[in-house]
Amino acid sequence: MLGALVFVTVLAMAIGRLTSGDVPAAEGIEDPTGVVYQPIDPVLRNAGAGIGLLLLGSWLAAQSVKALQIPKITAFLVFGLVAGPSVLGIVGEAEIRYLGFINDLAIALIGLAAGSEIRPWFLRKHARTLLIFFGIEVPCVLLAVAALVVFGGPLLGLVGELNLVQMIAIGVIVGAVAVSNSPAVVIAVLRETRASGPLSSLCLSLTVCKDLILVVLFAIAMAFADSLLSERVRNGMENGAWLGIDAELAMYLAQHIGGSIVFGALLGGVMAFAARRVVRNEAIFVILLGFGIAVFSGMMHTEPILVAIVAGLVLENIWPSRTRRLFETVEELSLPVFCVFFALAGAKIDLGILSTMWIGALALVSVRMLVIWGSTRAALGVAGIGPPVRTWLWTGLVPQAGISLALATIVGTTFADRAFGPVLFNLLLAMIAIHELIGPALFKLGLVRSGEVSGGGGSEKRG
Amino acid sequence: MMLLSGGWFAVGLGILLGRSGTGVIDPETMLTLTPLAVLGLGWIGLLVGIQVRREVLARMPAGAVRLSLVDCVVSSIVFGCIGALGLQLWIGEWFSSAALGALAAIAFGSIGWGVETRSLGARDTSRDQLLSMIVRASGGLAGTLSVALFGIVTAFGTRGLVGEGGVDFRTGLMRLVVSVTVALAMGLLGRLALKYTGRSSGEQLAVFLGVVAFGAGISNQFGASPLFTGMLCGIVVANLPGMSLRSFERFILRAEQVVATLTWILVGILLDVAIGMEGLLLGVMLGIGRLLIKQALFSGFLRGHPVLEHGRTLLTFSAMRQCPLALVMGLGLYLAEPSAFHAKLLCVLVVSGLIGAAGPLLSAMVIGGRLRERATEVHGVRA
Repeated sequence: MLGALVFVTVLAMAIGRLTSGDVPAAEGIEDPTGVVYQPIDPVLRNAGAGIGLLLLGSWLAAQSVKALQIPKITAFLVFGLVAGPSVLGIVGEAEIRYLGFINDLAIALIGLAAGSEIRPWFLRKHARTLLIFFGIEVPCVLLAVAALVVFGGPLLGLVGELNLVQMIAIGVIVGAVAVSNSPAVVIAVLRETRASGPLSSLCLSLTVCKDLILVVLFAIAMAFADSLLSERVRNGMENGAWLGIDAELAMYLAQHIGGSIVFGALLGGVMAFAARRVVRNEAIFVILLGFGIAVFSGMMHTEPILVAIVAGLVLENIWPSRTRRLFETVEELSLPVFCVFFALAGAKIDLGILSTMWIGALALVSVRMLVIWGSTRAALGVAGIGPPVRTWLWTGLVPQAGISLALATIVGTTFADRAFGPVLFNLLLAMIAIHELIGPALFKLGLVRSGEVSGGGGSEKRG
Repeated sequence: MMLLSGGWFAVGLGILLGRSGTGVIDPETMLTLTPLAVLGLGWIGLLVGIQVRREVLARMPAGAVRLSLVDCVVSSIVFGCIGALGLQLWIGEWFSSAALGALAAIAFGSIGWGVETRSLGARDTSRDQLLSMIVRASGGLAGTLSVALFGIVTAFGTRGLVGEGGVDFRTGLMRLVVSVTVALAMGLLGRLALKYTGRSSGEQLAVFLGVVAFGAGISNQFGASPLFTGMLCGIVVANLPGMSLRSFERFILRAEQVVATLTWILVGILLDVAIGMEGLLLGVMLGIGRLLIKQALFSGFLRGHPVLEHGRTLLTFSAMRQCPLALVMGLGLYLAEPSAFHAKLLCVLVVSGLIGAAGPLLSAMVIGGRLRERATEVHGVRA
């Protein structure tokens, strides 16, 4: 597999060299009917091979390092990083822009899958523990990381013409992303180790339920930050308005979050209705749905990931039998989409910036882990849960992957035109990349130490 | 309507959404999805190629192979001539760099026929089954030949290079070498990777989407046909000795309808219905030519097989229906050069295809009697 990976990479490099002379036409060409048309941009033409390289290369990379027990997504990211502009430059920055539609599809699929993992009956049964946990852990992580950003901005590489209010805004965004976990990694490790027991069950339920809270929290954080960082608010502040939190912002939040929930619920209903008629064409349905969520969310100013989560939740919990095949299709399509999605995310990592901010990333990781450890122990203590769950649950809350990267991508896209945008995006990616590398191994250690791996009784699939 | 295959409804939906309909989806926006469309072309090529296996070819009835070859030669010549005449009337040229692709799509897109027979009311009788098999086998082989000829000929037209024209033999040869080399490499890689995917359909999908996207993308980068490279890749995968492809085939064929439907929708979105009288004339000439030539060819074949000829059904008119690959070829041309001419050419191919699709219906009405009853019966069952 390693040989195949090297072959594919070298082939792509050679082809890239051979066709690097193609330049976009400065002016149009007249077709036989006399109409002038603009020839296709060579970069767009080359992007097809780019998708293939990222998909095939990242899959081969994951296979090549299988023996090392490194998570697949880490391999996808690393391959993207190597193939991207920072290292080999096989996939250029312009090509990455043209492949943005993969992000839209991936975000929708991640949201649908995450929503389908949430079970209302479990929430009711363990409501007290969950409430205590979310009431302590989430604010602690968010505030601690936000404080680090606000007071340690230069250490993290966030320098420039940013005032205190703007640093608070950025701190809230980074804090919101730091709160996120990875149900996908948790599920993967549980299945791999065949662990079962209270730690496994609670960890799985917590991370999945946290997705929904997180997305609402993230939407609020983004709207809040966007408001604080906008020209309108800067002008408003000069005129005496307080932080721009006015009726307009409240309306925006209501539309952004409320609209997303309503749209997601409606979409779930429509999907359930359509799913009965889509007998052999689930894949078409899911692909069109993914793009549809992205397009209509943009038009309606709703949050695509929140729309997808709510739709997934509604579908799985109200019409489970009707939509079972649909979620199987989502799962089937997930791997190729994730290969490209994570590889693209890796390709976007700017090593130049990363090399200047590794200290910041490490600081973020350290603070996040420390606070997760402390706040989880405290929350479980209050809820009356003892060791070994209380001792080791925090290890399952460290991994970050899909949702976190999706959120980081949204941050990167939203603030792409601002000076701090690329720095912030790379900081988040660096933090997530470190968590991806250490997270699964740490969780596995926690499961082994808590004695849940030796049982081998198979994991509880869903909370 | 029930005698039409589902593809035309997807094209209709695309027309409704695209520039010729409500304009909800802008063709310029769709062009940003070119990488995905190139992948789709490569995947269709793979689907065509993966069915070309030695053992399948060996098991094909000799008559079906002969029918495919005769159709290939006759259709290329007849529809090539009709296409040349039509293009001369329409755009004033037929042997030029700009017209070469269009002529190739017209001539080679006319080879073969639609291999979908369910909408023609094929029954479970042994005769219908045999007819269906012959329609599918000969149509499939003819489709493979058409993609091969299209890929070879269009490689010699200068595509995607700015300001140059004419038939470039050196570039053409280079493109063919690239197509064959890439297909071989990707086919071998695909087979190797299949050993590691196990039965996981997600893993298989990742591998083959990767292989096809990479191969088709490289071809497109060099100006060669992604459809052709995808097909070659499929042939390599299908004919390498070793492991069984049965589970993979089931999986890949399941995706056929997905890719086909999305392709038809895309064709509908991109085509331009403003083809004028000359364009319409070309489409009608191709369509009517199809009804006559294909029926003559197929009738000739059936006359040689009295068991099949006795008691005609709608299946005996199935050769009138245009092979869906014609639209895929037109789409490939548009994606390589998104000109107004290619958008109109797509519409010409749709017109020709619709006339061909109406063939079995018209035949049923003309012949009347038993066939009309049969059509009504089929209509009733499907309704």
